[in-house]
Formats: sequence, C-alpha cells, structure tokens
Amino acid sequence: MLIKRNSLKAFVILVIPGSFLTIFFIIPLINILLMAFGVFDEGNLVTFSHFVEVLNHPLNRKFLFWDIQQALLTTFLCLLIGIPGSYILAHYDFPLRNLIRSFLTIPFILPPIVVLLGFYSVFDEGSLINNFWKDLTGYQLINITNTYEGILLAHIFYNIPVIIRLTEIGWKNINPDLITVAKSLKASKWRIFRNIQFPQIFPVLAAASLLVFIYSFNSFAIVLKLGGVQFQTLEVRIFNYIWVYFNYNSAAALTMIQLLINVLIILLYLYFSNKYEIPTERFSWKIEKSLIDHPYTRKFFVRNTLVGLYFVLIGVICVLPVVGVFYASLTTSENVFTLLNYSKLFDQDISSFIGLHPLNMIANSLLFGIGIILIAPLLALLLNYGLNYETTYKGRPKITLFRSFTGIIVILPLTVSSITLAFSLFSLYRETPIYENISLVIIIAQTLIAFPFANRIIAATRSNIDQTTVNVARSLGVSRLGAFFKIELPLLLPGIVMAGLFSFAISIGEFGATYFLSKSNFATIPVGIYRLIAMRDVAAAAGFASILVIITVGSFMIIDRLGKVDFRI
Amino acid sequence: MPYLEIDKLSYKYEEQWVLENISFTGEEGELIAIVGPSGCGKTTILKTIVGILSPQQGSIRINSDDITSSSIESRNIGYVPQNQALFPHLSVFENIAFGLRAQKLGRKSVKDKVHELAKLSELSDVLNRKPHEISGGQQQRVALLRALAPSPKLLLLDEPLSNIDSQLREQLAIYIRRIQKESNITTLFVTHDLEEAKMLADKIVVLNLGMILQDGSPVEINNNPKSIEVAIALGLKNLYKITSMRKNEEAKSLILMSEIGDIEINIPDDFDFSTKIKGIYINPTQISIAKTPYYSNNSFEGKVISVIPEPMFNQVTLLVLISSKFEKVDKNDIKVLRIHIPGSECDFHISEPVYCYIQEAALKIFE
Repeated sequence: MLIKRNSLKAFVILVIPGSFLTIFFIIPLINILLMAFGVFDEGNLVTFSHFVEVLNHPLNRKFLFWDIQQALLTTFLCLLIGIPGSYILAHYDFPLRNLIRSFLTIPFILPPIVVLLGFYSVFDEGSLINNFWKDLTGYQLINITNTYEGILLAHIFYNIPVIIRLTEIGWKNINPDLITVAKSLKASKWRIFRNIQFPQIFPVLAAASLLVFIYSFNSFAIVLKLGGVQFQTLEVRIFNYIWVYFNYNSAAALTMIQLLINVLIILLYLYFSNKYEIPTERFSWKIEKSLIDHPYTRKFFVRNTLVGLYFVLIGVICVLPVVGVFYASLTTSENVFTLLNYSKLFDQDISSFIGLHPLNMIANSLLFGIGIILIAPLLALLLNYGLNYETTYKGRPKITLFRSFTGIIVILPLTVSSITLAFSLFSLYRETPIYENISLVIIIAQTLIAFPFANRIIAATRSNIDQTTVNVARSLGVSRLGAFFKIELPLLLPGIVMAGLFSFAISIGEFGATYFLSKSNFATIPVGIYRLIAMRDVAAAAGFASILVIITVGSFMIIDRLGKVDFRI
Repeated sequence: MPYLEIDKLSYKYEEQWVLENISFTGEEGELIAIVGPSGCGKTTILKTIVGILSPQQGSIRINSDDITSSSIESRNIGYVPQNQALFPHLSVFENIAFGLRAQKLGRKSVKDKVHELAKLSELSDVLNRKPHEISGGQQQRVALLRALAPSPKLLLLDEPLSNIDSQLREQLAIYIRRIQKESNITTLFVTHDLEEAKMLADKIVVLNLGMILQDGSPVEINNNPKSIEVAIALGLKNLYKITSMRKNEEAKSLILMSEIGDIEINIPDDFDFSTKIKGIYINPTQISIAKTPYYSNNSFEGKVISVIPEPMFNQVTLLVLISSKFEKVDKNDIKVLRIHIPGSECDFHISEPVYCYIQEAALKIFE
C-alpha cells in the first residue's frame, strides 16, 4: 500500500522535470533520428540514403577519421604528460603544491572561447613569445592557425588537468600499507607496480582517458577557428552542413554517427565507473613523504630539479592563456600599455562590426545565466526527489526498472554535443511560437547542457543528508512536506546554490549551442568574442574575454568556498 | 490489557522475511530490552513500530489503539536512532523544541519546557550550540530529550549506549533509567550487549534471525536460557556444540562427543534416546583444576594461556587438547575453556600444563 502511494507521489514530482526533458530533449532528438532516416522525405518510409551519402563523401570520411585520430592523440599525450605529475602530487609534499593544484583547475573552468583567445594572444604570429623565439633562432616557435599542432596544443592544455586531477585521486586511494607489505615480502618495484598499483589505477586512467577523448572529439570553438577548412571535428562539420550548405538531412545523419560514438564512449565510461567504483577524494590516504626534507645528495638535486622543471612547464601551460588574455587586453599591437581595448567595447561603432553592442551582449549573458540559475537546480532537485523516493528497508535508494531507465535519460545529455542539442531544438521548433523567442530556446539549450552537472551536485549533497533525521522529524509530529522544508531544504541549500552557480558559469561560457541559435540580437559574451576574433581584433576580444574570465573565476571561487565539486560526469 | 501489544508482526523485504511472527507485550512504564546479535532484526522492529517501515502482517497496539497503519507523524512515538540523527543545522535548543513546535505550543511554553528539561539533564550551558559542538554523551542526552519533550506514548531507543566512551556508559545508563522512571514512559531499547540489558531493563526479549527466542525478566533469561540459540545470542562463554552421542549400557550413561571432547553424563531410566542434544554449556565456577591428572571421565588436559584476576575470582583460560575415544580428532583442533576459581587458590602460571575435571552440576544441556 505504502509503496504504491509513494510511486504516485514520485510520479507527481517527476512530471515537471520529466516533461521538460521529454519536450526539449528526447522528442527533438527523436526528430533528428527520423530526419537522418529520411522519414520526412517525400515518398519514403525509411531510407539509409542520407547515411550512405555522408559516408560516401570523401571529406566527411577524412574528417571523421581525423577527429578520432586527434582525440586519441590528445588522450595519449595528456596521459604521457599528466601521469608523472599526478604521481608526484599524490605522493609528495612540497612548497607550492597547493598553488599548482589550484592552477590545474584554471583550464577546466575557463570557457573554450577564452582558451582559444588565450592561444591566439600567446602563440599567434607576432605574439610576444613567437617574436622572442624568432629573434633568438630566426624561426617562428609554432604556427597555430590551420595547423594540427595548434589544435593539439589547445586540446592538451584543456585536458591535462582532467588526467592529473583524476589520476591523483586514484594514486591517493591506493593503501600505502599494501606497498609496504609488498616491499617487506621482497617484491621488486616492477612487480609492485604491475600487481598492486596498476590494477588499482587502471580504472581511473581508463575513465579519465575516456573523458579526455570525448571532450576532444566533440571540440567545437577551438577547431572551428584554428582548423580552418583543413581540419574539422564532426561537431564543426555538422555546423557547416547546417549553416553553410543548409543540408539538414545530411547534418542529421552525421549527428547520429557522432551520437553513436559518444554513447559508446559514455557506456564504456559508465562500465568502468560502475565495475571498479572509481575512487573519490573522500577516501584519500594522507601524504607522508616530502620532497624537501632529505639530505642534500646529488640524487636529491637532480630529482628536485626535474620535478621543478616539470611543474614550471605545467604551470606555464595552465596559466599562460589567461595571462595572455589579460596581457593582450592591456597592450597595443606594439606591446605598449593601453586601456583603449576596454574603452573600445563601449563605443557605439563596434556594434556595426559584431552585430550588437557589447553591453547588450553582457546583459544577454547575465539574463540567460540568471534564467539557468533558477531553472537547472530546481529541475535537478525535483528529479532527484522523484527518482529516489523509494528506499530499501535499510534506507538506501531502491533501484527500480523505472529508476534505472530515467537514470539513463539523466546522463544522456552528456553524450549529446552542444551543436546536436541546438540543432535538435532548431529543427523541431523553428516554425513554432517557441522559436519566436530565441532567448527562451537558448535558455533551454543551456539548461540542458548544465543540467547533468547541477544534478550531480544536488545528488551528492542529498546523499550526505542522513535520511534518519527526516524520519525523526516526522516521529516528532511534522508531515513529510514539513520535514522537507524544515530539515532537508536548509541542509540542501549550499548544494542548491552551488548547482546554480555552476550552471551559471557553464551558461555564461557556453559557446557552441548559443552561437548556433543566437541571431544577432541574442548574442552573448562568448559569441561577441568569437566575432571579434573573426575580425582579427584580438585585443578587443581579449578585453571582452577578461570580463568573462573574471565572472567565471569569481563564480568558481564562491563554489569552492561552499564545498567540493567533482568535475567528472 | 497490556499497555503495549506487538502481535504476530512480520516484515518481508524482497521475498525475505526480516521479521517473523514477532509477539510480545509491555506494561505501562516498563523498560524492555531487545537483545540479539547484529543483523538479527532488532532495528527493524523499532522501524516498524515508529512507522518508517510497514509490516506485511501483524499489528501494533498502544493502550488498545491500533496504530499499525497510521502515518509516522500521527503515532506520537519518541524515536532515538542509533546515530541519534540530531538536526545538524539547528541548535540544541531548536532540536529539543522541534517536537513541541510541531504541537503548536506557544513560544513561551516551548521555551519554558526546553529550559526545564535542559536543566534536569545539565544541558543548560550548551543550548545555543550546534550538535557537532557538544560531546558524544551530551548529544545522546539531547537526542533523548528531543524524543521525550512532546511526551510520547512510547519511547524507542536504538543502541543508546553504543558509540559512548566506556567511562560515560554507566553514567548514561543510570541517566536513561532515571529519566525513564521519572517520566514513566514505556520504553523499548535495542542492544547487542546482554550486560547493558541486564543493567537497565525490566524485561528482556531475545531475538535472532528475525524471530523471538525467549522473553522474560533479566534473572530468568540469565539463569535459564531456553535453548542453545538463546545462549549463543546472549554471548555465553564455555558453550560447545555436540557432534554425536553414544549410549554407555553398563554405566547407564550417555557419552556426548562435543567440540571439547567426550563428556559423559548420567541419564534417568526413562531417557528418550531419540532426543537430539545440540549443545552443552559448562559453568566456569564448577570446574576443578589441578597440576596432576584426575584419571576419570570428564577430565581434560590443557595449557594455561591466561590468568586474569577479577574482583571475586580469577579467570583461568585453558587451551584444551581434545580427546575422544570414538571419533577421529584433528591434532590441530584445540578449544578454549574458561574456569573461575577463588583468588586464594590460584597459583597457576601461563604455559603451565594443567588438568581439569568437570563436575556433573556444571553441565547444562541444550536440546
């Protein structure tokens, strides 16, 4: 009896998030699927011709293989560079260790468009570093425009922190006693690594690698600008099919191919995280070794010099683009200090170049961001309560078929790239009244992108609440709803604020979907930055981007004060 | 009519019975202990009574009122879970006042009542602190007061003395007993510790594997465990399983092959040989111990592994080499036997080989 009544309550709670996901995510996605199979074409029921057409196109095949190849290469290089760093951070204490760890979060929280701009300002032709190198050697250090190495470097910058931070937690979860015992049993270093450390670190490495792969595979802003016509990810290719060739059916077919690959990767990721229970920071072992408290032998100096050089390099990779953005925003092309780049943003003329005045773009960004602060945590909260209503007699959430099905839907937005999301909303709703208000569509798209993260934060906060307190409150005469408002809501509040700010930060830096959907009147800061880069006004773009950096970093600093956020899926 | 009546309560989770046919009663103002090993369903009983879990069968009546299908909030039962579950975001005052506020009492009367309760329990100084800012003993008292404040019809305590320092345990046990007697609220408390139950309870219910094995007064349960299961659940020492038995026709006795070796017992003439004897308990105060062999039945050779002086006696623990005339014994199989001897007679030393003789009166047989 009780359980049936609870199911009904769960259903009522799920109506709002359920309908939101169905109307704006599942149905539009199904619509794309049907388009890809030509169901809406005249005279056809189902056809594979769109798939055949896109796969027969030599350029599509080339870009598909290149996309996979660059994602694999990025992953491999990130592992190569990242693993030693994660090992040192996990095992040794040394000065500036915490500072380095904070630096490592920078690339992760920066919007891709800022990373792109940072790369422009640091490595573009005529940049300070390239000029310096040219004066020294006579050659340019690196050419990032339309080159493979430019894209790889940007992707590595973006993803190294993922490998280092996740693997660090992995190392820290290995019980140091196991290694001590193995050593006491006279195991060689290689055997300890092969039989004790590797089996425990492997699932973490696998999960982190899959994340890096999926981020690089679906990269949009970086490749759109740096890749030119020579290098395109599927994401960029789909965008071009829609806005350059206006070929929606082929775009739909490509979207499905991309989705299939993403789903496979995410399934693998889930397989590893379920099978091996990927460790969390909570169970870390304490660091007991120091790099500094040692006798000054030759080994000591060699080792510490190498470690120092390594982290200088990592620090440079992580911090340089941000420094580059601020430097470019405050200097002229002759490297003279100026505030002109900022004042340019307030000129009326600039709007004729980039379609909308920067102040309006800032207003749009804030408007969308605030909309998402209000919507995403609420949806996540409702979904969490709806899905976890029933518990076992020991108080753990009960897994039902219904729950596991909806669980899949919750993670599905992660497999759907932002361009796919925008395209699916565009293709289904472009002739409906919903589309007349583009700002609403942008808010919906950004909410869907932020939602899995908001959901994760809310779920984590909620799992920390002792459900017994709710039962005790009820035994003291308060109704279930009363117990929610008096006990759970106050305890959830930090999580709700965190989820809101996180969603805000994602929204304000979101480029792909917003760029796809925004007509000139609804451009946001990232779209404005992109337009300025396209006009090769890197200095003004940098001025604009520095504002974005300040807002984003500010949001994350507040989040960091509120509690720990897991950056994984 | 008893004040509390639990009648044939059964709770099933995923095709498995966690509680089966639980029935017991309690009088008004009685303190009842539910004792059993961990995982036996003790906490589940409390959860069904408070209303967190709905039993599939049976009924719960308080003062003749059937509350089996009432909602948690309408039952008026005070509940202190094992981890106390104090509201972490509320002060000690707000925690204690929580139930009074739900009763829509006026501000002044809530304040007066909380202060009165806090004064009696020496918590007045910490009323403005948060739960994590007070000691474990204080937390347990706050949880108890929070449950008692709205004057519930029944109070449920889940392992109230676990997680408390051994020094404070006794003090807290006395406090619980005092508060419970003063308020005269019928109380049910769960524990895995028989000593704790004996110290506090008017009545003990022994539970194992979701079933009641025995219930009665602490003295009754302690002196006369009904079955080997009760003895195991109570954690009695010197308890051995019987693997097989053999009739000794000449001596009119029965030889029991136990885990500790052969033990011979006299049997009455009308003894029914089809009875299955499951185990044997050897009272540690009725075992003789010497440095020379006894050369009789029911005597064993052993080695002293510890001598611990207790207030009234010395506890000598032996490792017994098992010997059996009838069954093959593994040479490596050794058992521990505890013997209580008066302090003055004890001159046994660790590792010393000794001999012991078990008096007939020391044996209690479980069928």
